[in-house]
Amino acid sequence: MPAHARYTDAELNTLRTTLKFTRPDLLYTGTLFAPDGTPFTLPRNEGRKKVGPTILDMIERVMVEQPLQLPAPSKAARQSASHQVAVKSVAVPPKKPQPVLTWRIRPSDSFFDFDAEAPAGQRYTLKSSLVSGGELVTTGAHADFLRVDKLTTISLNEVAFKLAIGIMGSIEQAHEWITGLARDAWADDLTRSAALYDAIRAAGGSVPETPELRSLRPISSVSGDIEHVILRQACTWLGVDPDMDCSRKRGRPRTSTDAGTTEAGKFIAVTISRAGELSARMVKEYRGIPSDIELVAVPLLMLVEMLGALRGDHGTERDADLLEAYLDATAPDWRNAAGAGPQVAEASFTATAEADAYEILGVAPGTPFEEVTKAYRATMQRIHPDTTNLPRYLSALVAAAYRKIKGDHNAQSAGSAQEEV
Amino acid sequence: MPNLPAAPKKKSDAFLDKVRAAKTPARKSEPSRELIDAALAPRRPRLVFAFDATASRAPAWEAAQAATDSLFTALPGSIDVALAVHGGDQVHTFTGFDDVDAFRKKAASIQCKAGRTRLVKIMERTLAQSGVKAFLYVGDCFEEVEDDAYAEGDRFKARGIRAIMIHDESTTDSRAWEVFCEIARRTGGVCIKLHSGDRQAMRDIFAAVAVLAAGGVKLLKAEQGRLPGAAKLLPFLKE
Repeated sequence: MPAHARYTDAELNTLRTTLKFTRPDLLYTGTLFAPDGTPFTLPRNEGRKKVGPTILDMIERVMVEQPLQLPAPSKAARQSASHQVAVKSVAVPPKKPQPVLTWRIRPSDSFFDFDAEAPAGQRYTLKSSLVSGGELVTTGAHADFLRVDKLTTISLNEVAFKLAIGIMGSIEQAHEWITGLARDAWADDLTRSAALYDAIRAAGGSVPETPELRSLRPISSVSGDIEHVILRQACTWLGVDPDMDCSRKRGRPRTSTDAGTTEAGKFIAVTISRAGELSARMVKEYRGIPSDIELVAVPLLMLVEMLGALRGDHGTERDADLLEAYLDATAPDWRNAAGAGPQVAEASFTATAEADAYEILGVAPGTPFEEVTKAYRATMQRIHPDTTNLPRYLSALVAAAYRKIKGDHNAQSAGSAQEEV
Repeated sequence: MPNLPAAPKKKSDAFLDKVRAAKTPARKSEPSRELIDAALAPRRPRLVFAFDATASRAPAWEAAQAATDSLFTALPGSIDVALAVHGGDQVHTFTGFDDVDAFRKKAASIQCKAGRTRLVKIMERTLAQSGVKAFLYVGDCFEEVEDDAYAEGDRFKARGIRAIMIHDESTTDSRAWEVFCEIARRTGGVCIKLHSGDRQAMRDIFAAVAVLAAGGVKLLKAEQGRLPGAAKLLPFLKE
């Protein structure tokens, strides 16, 4: 699969379009002899077409076992050996002949099929897989070959073809563009093939593969390369850098199961994503708010009511904490939005203030009332909501504590006044 | 543009569609003033003061213990504080949210014992409490699994508990510093270096943390004039 294909849809990728066109090829001109000596003069004429093996049919790349040629010891090595006579000659294990990748001219007998039942003289026929044909264009392109124009096809990913139509404006123009690219690629192949053939001939019909010869091999991925060109063109056309790294990150893709941490109470589950964002949903129906609903979908005031109810219920402290934290994080102004009146704070502080009224004012129990009043005024100056922007409940707390002490003090002084009478 | 396929839907669109499609629960009755008031009723904020009392931390503990007074005096009587201490391979102390005297008595009895740190365990125990607004930890070392601590940090965030992590500068455990900072980041808290010998700085920080626990970032901002420690915390805090 060409490298780019993984970026296209797998199903669409199986849809392919076949385009017909002609491309140049080189047909062998000469005589091949069947094993029984029958001469085949090539190419044959079939109507207007010339038929025979192409230049790439004439050569093959095979593994050949070649006896290993040990390099002769260098002069310096021989000299040093003669100085050290005592050194034992190390027995070198005879190396097995290694198979070597070799380019060679295809043996002529491999071009033929043998049919024992055919009449004598016709038992050998050219293998159809090694024969193709086309219309003669010119002679003299190469000493051993004729140049022909051969009808051929290229199979292309349909999406790539449609993109090409979009880029070029019409099917005809896209066809022309693509086949032009393919023809050029094959013309290039042909030039290299001729060089490869000449190199093999020059080496006497067989030559081990070298990097230079390797680079002359025909390219087998013409359609893949053309798809690549089209996709790059489309990227450029859409304003996307075709060299942008869009490969998937290494490693296992993150799934929803490791999307983050979830902290749940009885009714509410809060999930913290890896990015640190909170999302919350109901895991159980609570006071008419159904299970599975995301809290974003619940109106704010209903959430505040739910918080109030959770605060009042038993065993729902954790849900209340979760909901309050969720409100603080997602609607920081929810308290004002829900209409906090000053009377709310005042009312709920009388009870808590009783136990530690003196502590709240920062004085020891039993401090004279005048001192308490001083402490109260000093504290109030520090925390009054009108001047310090502090939450009202702090001043409510302090005021309630002071009222408590004042009440006790008044009751006491009233009592002592009565005794005096 | 003609001849181009419709742009693919973004993931976020799909999410929003799901949210929109979700049935918004219909209100059956008038908003209940009673419930709303219950929700808005002020609650005494709670703070967990946690300390790493492993071996060789005795001088640090002495300094921190003295500084804990400012947790109570910053806003007298406005927050409840629990003391949590680990040492000797366990969380041996996790008090209730007591008054000053009980806290002092308990704190005076703490001895430093050798052992590995148990921060994750203390965080777990903190999550078992309700109404906690701040978690103040003083330590110098981290010998547990980072991911466990981070998961607890995420749970803190869900429960609205800010972690204020104080890394004792007298050691150079950079791993502990990194872990403390990540925990603080995940909970919307603060991670600061502090030398345990600097008692005044510790008192200032503790006072600021107490105010933060009592009234959040808003209150800390309003009070920063009289709280020298606020300047160290506020740059890291978001409202």
